[in-house]
Amino acid sequence: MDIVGFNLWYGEKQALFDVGMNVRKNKITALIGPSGCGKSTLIRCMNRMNDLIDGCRVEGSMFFQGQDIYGKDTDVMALRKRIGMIFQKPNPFPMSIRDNITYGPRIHGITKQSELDEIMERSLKQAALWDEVHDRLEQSALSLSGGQQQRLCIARTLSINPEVILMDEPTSALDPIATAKIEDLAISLEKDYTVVIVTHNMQQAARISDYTGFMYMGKMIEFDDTEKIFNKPSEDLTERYITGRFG
Amino acid sequence: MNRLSSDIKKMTAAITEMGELAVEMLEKSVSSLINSDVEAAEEVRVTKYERIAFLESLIEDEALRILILYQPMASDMRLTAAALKLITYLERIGKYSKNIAKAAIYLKDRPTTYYMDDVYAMCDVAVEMVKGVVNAFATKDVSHLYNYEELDDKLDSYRRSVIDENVERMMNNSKSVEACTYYISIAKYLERVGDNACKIAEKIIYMVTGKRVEIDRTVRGL
Ligand SMILES: Nc1ncnc2c1ncn2[C@@H]1O[C@H](COP(=O)(O)OP(=O)(O)OP(=O)(O)O)[C@@H](O)[C@H]1O
Ligand SMILES: [Mg+2]
Repeated sequence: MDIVGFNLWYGEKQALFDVGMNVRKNKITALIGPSGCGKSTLIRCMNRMNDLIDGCRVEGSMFFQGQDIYGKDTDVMALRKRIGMIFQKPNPFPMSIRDNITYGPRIHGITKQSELDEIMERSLKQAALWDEVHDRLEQSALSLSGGQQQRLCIARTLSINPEVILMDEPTSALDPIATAKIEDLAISLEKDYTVVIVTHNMQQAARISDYTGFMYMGKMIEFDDTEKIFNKPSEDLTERYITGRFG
Repeated sequence: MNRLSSDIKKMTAAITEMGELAVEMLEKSVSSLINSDVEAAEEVRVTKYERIAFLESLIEDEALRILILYQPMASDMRLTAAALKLITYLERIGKYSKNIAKAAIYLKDRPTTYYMDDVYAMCDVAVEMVKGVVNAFATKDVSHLYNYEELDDKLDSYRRSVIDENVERMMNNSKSVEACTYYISIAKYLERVGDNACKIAEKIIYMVTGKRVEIDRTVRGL
């Protein structure tokens, strides 16, 4: 995915300034930066979640496999099927675990029960949740713990077979064990999916990502190999942020 | 200043002290050798060495504490990683200085009229190398560290001539064997000081530039 000269306004207020970056296929890209710098705004743009916000206007381009995400003839529903999103707060639907996973595939026209079962088992296994829930699939998803709910949301996203998975602080509300599971999961997804993850946890970005972008006040200050960013960043601002000498 | 910054500052100050102490020990041991100054030699052997050994464990604890508590990044991480290595090399330089001081004490009552220029030349090079790395740590200017390989080669060739000279003396005069053995050992200590200064130079270049370089070939057994 290629992002070129991208600007965004919420009403009068500009939130993204000439952002450029490249999201590599089958790699994990992390976005870091202080609160309010525009990480969520940017990641939401990648599957046009910002369309839902009143007064939000964009300029510039985002290309996904050569197609302009903001092109006039882009089918937004089809785009969101290919580029799925996981939010900071797990948001399972108030229905059974099974229905949470099969909801998406059914909307996309799959009706055969055996096929739905297969998708459900595969998705839950990919999300490392199957062992914990396979004997309680009819229970409400809301009965799961926070970490389990988050993995359920990941399984739900996987069930419709996206190509890119966007994660906005997926572990900020989780304990270290659940966090480690989500991190392992992100790494194991890497071979089949492209992952973009927003995180405030620098060690997490360093642990799991291949590329890291550091944002500040709506600008992409530095984008490079993760190792470079955390070992010897080029920009003084990045250095000051990741060493905690900011402001 | 946040806590990480102030802990990093404290550790940096301790490393600076340790580096300056290593320079002082080396210079003092060398001058005690040249001037047969037993008092200075004793000071290096006992009090100075105790201090440098203490600083080694102090800085090691501090670096590990920083790693665990803050999981430092970028320059903080490189400094902390470098610190864990620097202290080992600096302590070794302290130990070789101590050995030279011991030799000075032994040789005091065995004055020699032999040609000593090669040993003295080694002293100069070794002191220059250690001073250079300590200075680079403080100033973050590493430009002069890239020619350490040459200095190291110089030490090697001086050492070979010290060995040759002393072997010849021993063959000519069996009474000189003990003293000559000491001179050969001193040349070995000075050469090792140079090796350790090269390792320190590598770590400081990494600390400052983030790039790994290899200066000291002798470690690979060349
Ligand atoms: N729906 C919105 N309407 C108006 N302004 C918004 C909206 N969402 C975000 N903003 C503003 O845009 C800027 C960037 O916000 P964004 O949520 O992208 O930051 P962030 O980097 O994700 O921060 P955090 O780390 O706190 O989640 C902020 O100044 C914010 O106030
Ligand atoms: Mg956000």
